[in-house]
Amino acid sequence: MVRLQGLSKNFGATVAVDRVDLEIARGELFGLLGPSGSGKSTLLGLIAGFHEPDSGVVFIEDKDVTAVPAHRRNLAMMFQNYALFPHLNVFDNVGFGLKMKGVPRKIIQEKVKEALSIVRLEGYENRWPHQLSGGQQQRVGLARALVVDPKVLLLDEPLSALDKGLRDEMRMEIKEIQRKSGITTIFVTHDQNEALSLSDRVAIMDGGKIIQIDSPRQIHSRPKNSFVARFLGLQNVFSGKIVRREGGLVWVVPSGRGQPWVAQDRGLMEQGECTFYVRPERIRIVDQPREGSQNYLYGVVKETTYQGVYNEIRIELGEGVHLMVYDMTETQVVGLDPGTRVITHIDPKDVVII
Amino acid sequence: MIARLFRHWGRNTIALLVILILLFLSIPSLVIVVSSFNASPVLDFPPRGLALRWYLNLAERPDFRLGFINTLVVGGISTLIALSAGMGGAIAIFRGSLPGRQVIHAMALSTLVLPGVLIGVGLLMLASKAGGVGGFTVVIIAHVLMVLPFVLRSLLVSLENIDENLEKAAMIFGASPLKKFYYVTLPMLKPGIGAGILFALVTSVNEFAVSLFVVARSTQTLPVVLFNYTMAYVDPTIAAVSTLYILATILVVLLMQRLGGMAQILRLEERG
Repeated sequence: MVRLQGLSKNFGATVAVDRVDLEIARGELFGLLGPSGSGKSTLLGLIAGFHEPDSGVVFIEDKDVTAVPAHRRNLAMMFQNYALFPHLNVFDNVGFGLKMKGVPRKIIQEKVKEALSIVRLEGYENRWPHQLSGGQQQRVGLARALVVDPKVLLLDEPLSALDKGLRDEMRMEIKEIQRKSGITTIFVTHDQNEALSLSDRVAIMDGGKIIQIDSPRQIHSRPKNSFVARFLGLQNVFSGKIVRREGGLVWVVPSGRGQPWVAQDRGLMEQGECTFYVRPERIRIVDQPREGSQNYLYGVVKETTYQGVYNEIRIELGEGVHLMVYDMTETQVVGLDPGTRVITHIDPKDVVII
Repeated sequence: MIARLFRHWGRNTIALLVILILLFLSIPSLVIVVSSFNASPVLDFPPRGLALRWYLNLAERPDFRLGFINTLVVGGISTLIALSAGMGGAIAIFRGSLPGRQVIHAMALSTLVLPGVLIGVGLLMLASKAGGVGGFTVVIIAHVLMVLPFVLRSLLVSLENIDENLEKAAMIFGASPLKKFYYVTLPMLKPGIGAGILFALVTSVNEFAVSLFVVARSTQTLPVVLFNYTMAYVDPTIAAVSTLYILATILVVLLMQRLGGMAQILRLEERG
């Protein structure tokens, strides 16, 4: 449905998009995730037609639209700051795209009414943008985008300006509407929660390049490298060295020093350098090591922070290796003040090598 | 810091101070207004009697009537021309890709800093070569040049303040560059256009130095008429004209306030 081939865009000396190849299927809800400056917004702009690429091709529905200006690509967009026209009321805002296409007034009236009821803003036709709350403005933006029946719907950080409750609400609405209408949707965000909860597939970008494209589940469980792992907010990411391999298990030493950790051998790594991590919630704090089990690591509590459902405990394992543990407050094993010596246990299958 | 001042001296003291300062600043204007009603033909103060004769003088003298009409015509036409040229120029400067556009920008603003005499003599020389010395064409050209910086500045500031995303929204929803200008850019430029008109009119109506060089008898603008009159007579007529100018300015400001709010219009200039 949308295909990008070898797309590149520079702004002066900065490389914003670096030879990107991407294919997005019809009806897909596709997320572009990455930190600021990763090129995701520029990429969206190239698909929209705001910028002309320095090289490469943009295909929409198998047609080469690289040279087609934005106003003729038949797309729609939602913006982080809503971008409602302040000098037009809600009706004129929502109907803007139809008016530009030359649709007769009668039909515009029907379609606007329909669009407003989809976003649950019936009767708001005569209101003005400045009279609306942020959430309402964004819903008008959604109506404006849906009413033109676009080939692709583009969303540029549409939820960033909303507060948490509204954000979750809008997220569900967008997902539901997209599902019902089946419009191919591409959105940009720096919020990994948003990307992972909304998308059918996600592409993580950094430095103008796509690092990994996968379903949210795959990305979360199999991050490709340490950048992706850290960006996803994974804690306890270490680079290390594989020192031994035996019986389906791998011994890996974090940062080259200290006790080796035992991980399950997934056949991914050879010898040598690697990156691995363990989820904070998969680490247990125990009284004493049990016979026959691996991965008992000794350390000292540095800091404990109450986070409601769990305590966030930072433990130093020695040799400058720090571990973040989420310990459920309900099942707290020992008193965990700073300075307490603890034994942590990690099941080898929870040590993930990437 | 101002809040601290308020707390320390009390609201009323500050208010009183502001009123006193404003009064002080208006003393020259007040003197002029009062003098304009002076019954005697001498510019003394305080006046010994009151009369409207100087206002009648203005209405009766043909040169003042001519000057008044000329100033209105020239002011109106040059404002319109400056708006059109300024609009095109502002867009070209802000969004264009012509390499020399900042030079053109600087040139358009140059009449702000060049001595009026210089501009006047230059235009006179140009007019004598091209034919049309003293005619309306050269006078209007002069006023367009003097007024353009204000119009351009106002429009540019207004243009810069338009949210980039609004332009993108217009584009993505199918507005060609022309339609985008008409349906989105222009309506949002209203404050800039309003400010531009305001400053243009005020500048043109007060313009003296350049006008002095380029006008002929029949094309004199009001400031020039006033100047010539004062060379011959020194009587309260000038006070009368000045009072009318003050009145007109107050009316224009009130009108602008009614239409768009001075604060909003002036904020444009601040941000620039």
